[in-house]
Amino acid sequence: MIADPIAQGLARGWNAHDASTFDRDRDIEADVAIVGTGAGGGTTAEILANAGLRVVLIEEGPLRSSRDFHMLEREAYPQLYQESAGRRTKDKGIVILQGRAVGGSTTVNWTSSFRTPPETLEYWREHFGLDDYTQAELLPWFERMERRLSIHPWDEPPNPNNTALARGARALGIPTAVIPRNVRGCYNLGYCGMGCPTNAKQSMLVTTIPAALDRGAILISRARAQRFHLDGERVAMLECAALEADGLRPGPHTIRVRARTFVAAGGAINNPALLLRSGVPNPYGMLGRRTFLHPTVVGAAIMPEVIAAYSGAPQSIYSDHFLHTAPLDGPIGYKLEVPPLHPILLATTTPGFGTVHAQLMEAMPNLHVIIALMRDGFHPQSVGGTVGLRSDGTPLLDYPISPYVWDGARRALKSMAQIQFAAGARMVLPVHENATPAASLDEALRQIDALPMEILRAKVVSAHVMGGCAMGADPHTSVIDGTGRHHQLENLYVFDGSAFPTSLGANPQLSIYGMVARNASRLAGVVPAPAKP
Amino acid sequence: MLLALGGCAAVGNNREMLHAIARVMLRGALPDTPQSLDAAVQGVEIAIAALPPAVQGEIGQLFGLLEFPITRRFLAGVGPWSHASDAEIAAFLQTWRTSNTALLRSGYAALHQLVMAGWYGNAMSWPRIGYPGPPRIA
Repeated sequence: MIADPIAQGLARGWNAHDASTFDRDRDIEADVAIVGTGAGGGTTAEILANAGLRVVLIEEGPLRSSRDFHMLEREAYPQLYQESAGRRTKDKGIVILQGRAVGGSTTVNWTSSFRTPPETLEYWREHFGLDDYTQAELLPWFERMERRLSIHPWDEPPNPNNTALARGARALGIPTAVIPRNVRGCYNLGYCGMGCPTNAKQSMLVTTIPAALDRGAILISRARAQRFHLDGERVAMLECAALEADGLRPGPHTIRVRARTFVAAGGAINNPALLLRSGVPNPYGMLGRRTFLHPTVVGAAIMPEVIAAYSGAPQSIYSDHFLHTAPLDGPIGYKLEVPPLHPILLATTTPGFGTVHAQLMEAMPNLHVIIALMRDGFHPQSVGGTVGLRSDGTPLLDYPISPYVWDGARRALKSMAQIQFAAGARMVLPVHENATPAASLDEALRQIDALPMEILRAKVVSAHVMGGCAMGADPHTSVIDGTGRHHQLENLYVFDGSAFPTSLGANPQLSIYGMVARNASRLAGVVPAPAKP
Repeated sequence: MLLALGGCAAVGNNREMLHAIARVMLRGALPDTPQSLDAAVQGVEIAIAALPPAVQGEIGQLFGLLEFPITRRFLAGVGPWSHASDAEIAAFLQTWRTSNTALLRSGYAALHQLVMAGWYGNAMSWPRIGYPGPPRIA
């Protein structure tokens, strides 16, 4: 029997509430109110609670735990993801995987943990005036969070899906490396994306949030942060809607949270939307702008051997080779990794329908898939997307894919095909509605050259939403400063991936942990000491 | 304009249409039993019910277009779903899938996503694709 730290904590009397059960309005007072419980909100909550501050966490998703994680996509996607793991950009061209539960995306991510690439920090210093975002400044914070979350290079053999990436790359002289993961006592099951059933993944759900709750923090789940109420240059109150039992619609009850300091950590789509709904000062129109995705294209291959990509640690090998073949601000570079394959994820990503689709699905045990995550935001033709609001106030990301990014998509599909044939693939299928399985590299490359690079033909996905509340020294080109504080509101901080002024070129969780640990620790010294009772 | 029109059409029980579309989209994947198609359509309905209201509204508009006789005929080229042949439906799906109009491709993408999620979330679909299902935790 796996111990369930959430069930244990609730039994100990945690101050945790499901707002969908509220039968009246609530008023809550705290020193700090945090919106969101993912990498940013969780890290912030632990640090501030340890500093003796009264913390309240607001989360739109439900509180679920290992006993609920049955490794079933049909349960996990509607319960734990934004829009049932089918969130799309405005023109429907990009499918976005983003968490929506206590723990945020850390509850459902695939555990890859990279420090921020040095060249990304250098670019931020040069272009956004973030002078103290140096490797030396951040190193102790990364090390601290690596210790806290047991982040270490995966020391088991990679599963066959990752092995194929390593093998193909090696045959071509392309370097690969082992991915650091935030796991402790991992069972190597392969179901990280549906919530870790063994609590081996050191997500916010089982680390920082329980620690904060043990220190008396308040957690309100299934509560949607609707708007900040402003009083001059300060946020006075956060108004939240208790959701209905379905977890989808705002119900009749309101939760009013009064605090001295407010932290927005709802992710890079929901954060800008919350600030837009609140009518916060936005003098230079930067709010919601420069939202980045690591737009990702997909290359599938049928291998002679069984791959069983549904089994084993999903991501353990990567290559940054194609991030380094051109300058940072040259043609777009891409990171190569592999995804886990489970039936819904595979079936919805596989192009075509009818017998063509069914036959590809039957190849599932032998399917090997690589993904190429493009590093957006470092070039004049890669300005990212813009978060706006639908008529019902919910967020919508408009992310047009520029020809500059499409050029990278085409190059990435070729790189993946080359690696897959070098790894021994029998057939390679660039994931695109117009492509057909190719039996030779020549055939694959010819096909890829001719593919129309357009949305809803090429499959483009994202699991890394960044930006929209960009930090920077100059208020004309950013929303918050390097400490995370809003340029115009003195007690509003943004502590999560929405603060990044570009994408990262690496899976974001450790960058968020490290930078937020630093900024939240500074805030712990800035927030006025709690009033004596 | 078309979407607005679709939004006005009666949306409610779309089961006949979903049966027809799923039957063709899942050709070669469904076991040869009527229960399997029913299960796929039920999976689609469950998937839709879990989506946010704004997305459900968009799907309602799409279904409205595909149910309302004039838009169905004009945009999908098929008659009443109860009489549509597999060939007609496949031609409609192929036309939308490969259309030069991104809006039609997005309609196809929505149908594809719903039908595939509706069926492949169901353990009945797994034997054919060699997926063993979740492991037992020792």
